[in-house]
Amino acid sequence: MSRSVVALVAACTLALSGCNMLPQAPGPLPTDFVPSPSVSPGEGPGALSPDGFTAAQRMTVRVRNVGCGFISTGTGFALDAHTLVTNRHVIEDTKKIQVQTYDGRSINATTASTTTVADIAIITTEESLGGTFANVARQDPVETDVVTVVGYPKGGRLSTVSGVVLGESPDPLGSAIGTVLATTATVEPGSSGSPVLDEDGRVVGVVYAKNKSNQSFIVPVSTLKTLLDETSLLVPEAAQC
Amino acid sequence: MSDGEDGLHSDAASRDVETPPRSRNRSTKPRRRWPWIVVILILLGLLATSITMTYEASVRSNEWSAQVAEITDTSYTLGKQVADEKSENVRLNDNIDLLEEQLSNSKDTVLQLSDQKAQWRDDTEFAQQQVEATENLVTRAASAANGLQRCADGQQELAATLASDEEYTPEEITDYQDSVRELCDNAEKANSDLQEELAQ
Repeated sequence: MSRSVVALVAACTLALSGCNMLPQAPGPLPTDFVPSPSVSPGEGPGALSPDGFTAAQRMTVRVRNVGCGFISTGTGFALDAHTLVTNRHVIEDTKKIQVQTYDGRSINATTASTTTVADIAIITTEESLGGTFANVARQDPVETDVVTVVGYPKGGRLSTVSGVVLGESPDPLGSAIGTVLATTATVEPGSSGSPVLDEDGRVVGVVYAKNKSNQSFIVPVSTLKTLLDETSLLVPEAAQC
Repeated sequence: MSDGEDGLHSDAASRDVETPPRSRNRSTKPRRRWPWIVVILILLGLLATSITMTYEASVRSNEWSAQVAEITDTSYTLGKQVADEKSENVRLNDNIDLLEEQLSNSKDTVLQLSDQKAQWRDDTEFAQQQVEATENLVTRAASAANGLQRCADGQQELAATLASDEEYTPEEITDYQDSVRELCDNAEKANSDLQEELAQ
């Protein structure tokens, strides 16, 4: 009989333990089901610029060389608020250098430096060039890389063309030390000094020449970085006339 | 064995005789009833627990039902908001398309005006160079004209000197003639250079 009682107690205990399976009471509901946005529309890589122009367009300037009895134009791009890069031949025999931004602002250059190492010149301005500057790549582009050139061909409107890197080439003008890069991007007189951008918008070179086959030649970014690091290679360009 | 059995029979017989069966049943009944009491108590406890748990389950069920109803209401509210936002999104996308077109046109206009300004500044700088060159030519022309005038004046003075009654030594006259010739040569050279430049 005692065994029956024990069994019954066990059965009751088991039955009561089932009561623990009762669901818990519901907790309070959240006050707001709408999550807060994690990214602002003004952030991120696809963010709009203040006026709809791309960073490449905003940093690219038109260079006017007022020389002794002549006027020539080229292109340059801002390294920072007061420094820009262009070609040496763009500012040769200059009396006065003026740059104009994409939105029409005219700025006078204060100094200019050139080098014999490459067809590169560094221009400084007293007035700020703006708020968008070049993001210089760490490495040179390689063959088949897609590149974009932003500039003022023939001194005209700001335009953008694309091309592919063909590979290393000897300097067609015979003036640069080392090799340069050839691309299929079509450039014109006036495009000299244009920034060459990779697909991430980083500057990988500077346009300085073209040939009859419409191939363009660029000074690779490694040469540009060497010049920027070794300022002793740059010589102030004296005003002519 | 048979003895035992016999003994048992004899004991049973003797109990039947000595003790009435009813009095024996009364002595064993309390010992056999307590399990049932325990069972009944347990069953009563179980019943009470079941009632309690049933009540508790009912309460929680009602709470869950209320929350489900609240969530359902919230879901409908959010669904309506989503629908409204979708409509607003479609409307805003249409506006964005229009604004992108306007922005594209504005950018085009900015670039066009910037280009026009650049060309105008080019023309201005070129015109300035032309003005400076013209001013230079005018200055040189005035200088050449002045030189020619001085040449003419010198020749007139030389002629007057030769015609005068004053006595000059031949050396003085020769020096004077040379200086006038040099003056005229320089004036003519300046004039011919100017004419050549003007011809270009």
